[in-house]
Amino acid sequence: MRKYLARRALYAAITLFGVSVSVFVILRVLPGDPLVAILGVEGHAQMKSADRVRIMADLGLSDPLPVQYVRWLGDIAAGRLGKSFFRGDTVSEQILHRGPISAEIGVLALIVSWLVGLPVGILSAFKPNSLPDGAARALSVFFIAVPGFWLGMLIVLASLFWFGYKAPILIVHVWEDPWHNLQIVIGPAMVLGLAQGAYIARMSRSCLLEVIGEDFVRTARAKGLREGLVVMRHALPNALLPVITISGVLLGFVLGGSVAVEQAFGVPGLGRALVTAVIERDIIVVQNLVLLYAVIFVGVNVLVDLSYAWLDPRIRYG
Amino acid sequence: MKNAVVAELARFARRNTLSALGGLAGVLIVVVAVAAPLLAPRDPLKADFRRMNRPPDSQSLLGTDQVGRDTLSRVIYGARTSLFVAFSAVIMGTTVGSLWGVACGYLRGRFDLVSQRIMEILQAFPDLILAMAISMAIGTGLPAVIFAIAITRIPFGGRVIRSVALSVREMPYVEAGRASGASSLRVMAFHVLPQCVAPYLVLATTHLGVAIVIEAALGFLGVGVPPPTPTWGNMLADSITALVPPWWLAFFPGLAITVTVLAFNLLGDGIRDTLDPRLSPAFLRMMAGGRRA
Amino acid sequence: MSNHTGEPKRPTSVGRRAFLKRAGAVGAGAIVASRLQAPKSAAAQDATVRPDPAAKRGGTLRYAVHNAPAHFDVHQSGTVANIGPQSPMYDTLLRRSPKDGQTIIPDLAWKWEISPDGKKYTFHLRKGVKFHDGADFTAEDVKATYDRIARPPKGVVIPRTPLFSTVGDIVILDPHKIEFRLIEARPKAFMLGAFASGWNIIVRKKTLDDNQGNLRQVMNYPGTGPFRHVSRKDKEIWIQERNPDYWNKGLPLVDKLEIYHMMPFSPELGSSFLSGKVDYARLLDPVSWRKAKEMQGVTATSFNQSVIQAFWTNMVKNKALADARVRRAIHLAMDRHTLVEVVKDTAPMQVGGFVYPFHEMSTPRAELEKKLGYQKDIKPAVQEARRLMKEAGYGNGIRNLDFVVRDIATFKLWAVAIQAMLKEHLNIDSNLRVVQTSVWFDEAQAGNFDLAISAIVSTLMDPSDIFSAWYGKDGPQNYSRWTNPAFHDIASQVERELDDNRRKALVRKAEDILEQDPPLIPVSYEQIYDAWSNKVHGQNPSTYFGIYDVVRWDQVWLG
Repeated sequence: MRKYLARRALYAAITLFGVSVSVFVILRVLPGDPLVAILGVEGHAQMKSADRVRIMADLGLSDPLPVQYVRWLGDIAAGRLGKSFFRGDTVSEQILHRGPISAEIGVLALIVSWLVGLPVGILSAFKPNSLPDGAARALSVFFIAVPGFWLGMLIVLASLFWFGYKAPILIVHVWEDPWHNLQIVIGPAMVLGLAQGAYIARMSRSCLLEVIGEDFVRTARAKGLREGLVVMRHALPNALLPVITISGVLLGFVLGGSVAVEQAFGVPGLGRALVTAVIERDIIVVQNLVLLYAVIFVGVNVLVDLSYAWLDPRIRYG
Repeated sequence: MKNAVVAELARFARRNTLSALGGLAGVLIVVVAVAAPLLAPRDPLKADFRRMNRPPDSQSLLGTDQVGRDTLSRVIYGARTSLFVAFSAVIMGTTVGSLWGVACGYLRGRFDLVSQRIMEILQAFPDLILAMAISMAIGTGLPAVIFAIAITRIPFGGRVIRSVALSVREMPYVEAGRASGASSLRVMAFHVLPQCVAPYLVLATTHLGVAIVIEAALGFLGVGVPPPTPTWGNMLADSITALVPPWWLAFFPGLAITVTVLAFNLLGDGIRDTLDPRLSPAFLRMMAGGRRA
Repeated sequence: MSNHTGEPKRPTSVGRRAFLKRAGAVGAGAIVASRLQAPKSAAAQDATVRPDPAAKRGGTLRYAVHNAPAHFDVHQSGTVANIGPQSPMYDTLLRRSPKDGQTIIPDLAWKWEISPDGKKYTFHLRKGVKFHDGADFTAEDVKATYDRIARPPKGVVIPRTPLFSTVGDIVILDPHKIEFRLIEARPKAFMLGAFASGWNIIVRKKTLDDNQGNLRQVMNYPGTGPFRHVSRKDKEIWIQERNPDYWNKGLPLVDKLEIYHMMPFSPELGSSFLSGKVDYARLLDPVSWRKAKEMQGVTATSFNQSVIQAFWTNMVKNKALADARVRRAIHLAMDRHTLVEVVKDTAPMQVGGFVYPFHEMSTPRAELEKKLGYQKDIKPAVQEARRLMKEAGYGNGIRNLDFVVRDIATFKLWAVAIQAMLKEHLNIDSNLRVVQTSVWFDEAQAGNFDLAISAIVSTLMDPSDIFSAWYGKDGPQNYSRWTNPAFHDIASQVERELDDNRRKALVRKAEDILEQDPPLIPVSYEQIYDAWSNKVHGQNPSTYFGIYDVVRWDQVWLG
């Protein structure tokens, strides 16, 4: 197990290094003069070229790329995540303020997906091809196909039109006012969670179906154990493994999808901050937020692998 | 030959009715997209200032938007753009990924090791975010969006086809090919590649839906194909300009996306079930991009 | 006309055009009145804002306005994204009275004198005024501020600079007396209007010195204003609190300002106001505004905005657009009444030409609508436009124009409509490129466009201001880089002419030149729709001009 851990950590480190290089390279390829954003175009147009050279040097933008890269990593390690070109807000402030909301949405979505997906999948597997199974499968297929942001849009419009309801406009964290906080995060969490849940339902259904046919389950049944016990002790753990694995992948969908869903619900989360930064071509902000998302994704996947490894006796004791 | 193909299709349709229906719908949608100039009642870009914001009626079956453009025509042309982007991106991305995967699986060694790490890096980014970052770097416009989405599809092809190549590699006839002195390239092309066609098809169809949704999300966020080209995502974003937007503008483009993605997903399910009935959850996991490929 | 807080609320059934006409008439009338009443000399008592005796103190005013600016330098800005949230923290030399938004009253200058030849403006400054950081306010700060505005340093561009183009020396007579010496006299009302502009906030000399004269990245530089900065969350909220040491004892009346970020005309703004999440909503969309008018406990009003909605044609980059005939053709091909219709549920607009349609000097609307380009039936105008294009050699149209669109709902809708009109009538092909506000101004200034659509401000309604602010040679907002010697000549005459009738004739001549050789293509003029909960007292903008002068909230109270 320890060897596996070490190997996994090494791979994760390499991946993160590669991610940081990719982000840096992709965004430095950007055409256009970053000074325009800082000085404003009027100011930029009136700048002499000597001034320009001086200012670029001051900002470290004229150093060779590798030097800039190392300095960037150093800044991040020291917690200096940069400032927006436009309004001078630091990225770390944004992350600390908006991050918890986006994180909440992610966690809630995960919980919703398990709470909805697992029971549906399990029940489907036990009564395959029955009416409830058919309905569950139809709904799963539907939720996988529907774009989350469209669903979100419709929900917001419907609640405004029919109930005159509008969610709170400011960020309220869960430790400040749980009820308001819930109102902000519940919409995106439900939409994302149901989509994730659909995948989980399908996955757990097919895995379970496979396992239920297997010998050791038949043996358990033959021994006279009750169905419920059979499920709990033997079938479920086997169904859970792939669910855990797929949750890692689904996290990627959630992180990506949350950007559009946040926009649709008007939630001022990190995803919206990223979109605005992309539209405004605020390089530093985009760079650091993309890195953050990638780091989170890699981190969670490492956790998933570790928990999978822990559950899989072959690796745990190997 | 033709009869055999028809018979195969008929058998497929019998066994996987739902999937066949999905496939039919998908084909219809593609036909609509291709035949857009013939099918669309009006020019999607033409504004008609006498008929602004009309609800669905006899003249405009799906209503008109704020400058009088016909929603039905825009949805039809939107299919064209969205499908073109999705198909191009998936084909490009999956093909590049698959070829890369074949090379990895067959050649192994350092090439494989390095390639695997590169693919992990690509997969470390959530889809939409990677696409956004790439399109920010290379600019907006149709080709940029296609390129950005294609890149996000590469690692999936790489992984799956790599493992197929790995297993095929051990097959006796491939060994024989190698022993007889054929170059690696020849062996890859003539022995390994044909085995990858089936998984490739499965991959391509299952990722089509994802590509469509990513393209729509990019459009919705305002970083996709630039106006005035109608795409379903753009249309959804444009619909929310008033306090209570005209429901037909918010509803139909989203419905189009849902139906299309549904159709291709169902088709993909059926193809997957047929081409590889021995597909175990382990394989499914791998296709979804699991770690233990 | 519109609903003062005392009147019983009742949905008006007056047609929109009549309503707008009346609004315009009141505005114009007030302008005339203020011009006649230009406060003369030392005899003026300190007539600055005083608190309403019936006012209750305390509470938090929740107000929603666009506040994600591209930078924080108010002088360099022309958008409500700056002045909206930042104005409460600063004072000006003179100000417009919140009662009517027109009368000029003392602010940091409690008394002023104008020399008989109109070339010396002497301001007596208040003593004992402190900046938020504790420093004393003196004439040094006024001189530093106005030196900057009149003669900005390299790299700084200030839209109000042309207003002070004849200011020579700014002399400090003593720490609380300062004198502006003009090289050439200007109409008094014009100069006083310039000093009273909400944009010309007084900042500390030290602030400018410490930041190399560029405040773009400085979020919280000290002011003398009734409110001071507490905290800000980008794109969400700016919180400000009462300044306990404010020089105007007894003001402000509320304890806290919560300034929410919401885009103009957005559904977000409308729904937030209607559901009671903000107390005062500015730049409301027509649908929400109409709902607000019918709501109990809510007042809604409208007034003229000091911007022009237009699009520019890059004469430097594009040879075709440099030809006046092409530009006039484009000008004529615009169906302005339809353009107003297209956005009717998004924002309140009215047809106008190159000068504010509701200003007394401008061509009256009835006459304007007889001219080509402003008629309901566009066929004659389109015919003439086609003829001009052919004459200029572009009978087959123009290809591939880069049309940069500022990312606000109105501009996006208009861009689509204008694109369609250009294509249909003149066979001009354009590609839309939607960009954020901050990027738009950058692109416009850099000349990275063929066509570009947005709105620009003027300080005053007076043609003298807009002739230099919008159409001045090398002017900061003259994005087309247009110039016309005959026009500039008339413009300088208009600046100096003191007789109203002669002035009006000159303005008409100028308008005619602009019609033939357009520096920009006017789209429309805007009304501002405001709505507020009846617990908000002290702010009734129905006679205001623009949303940039009376935005300090010092005299507002909640009860």
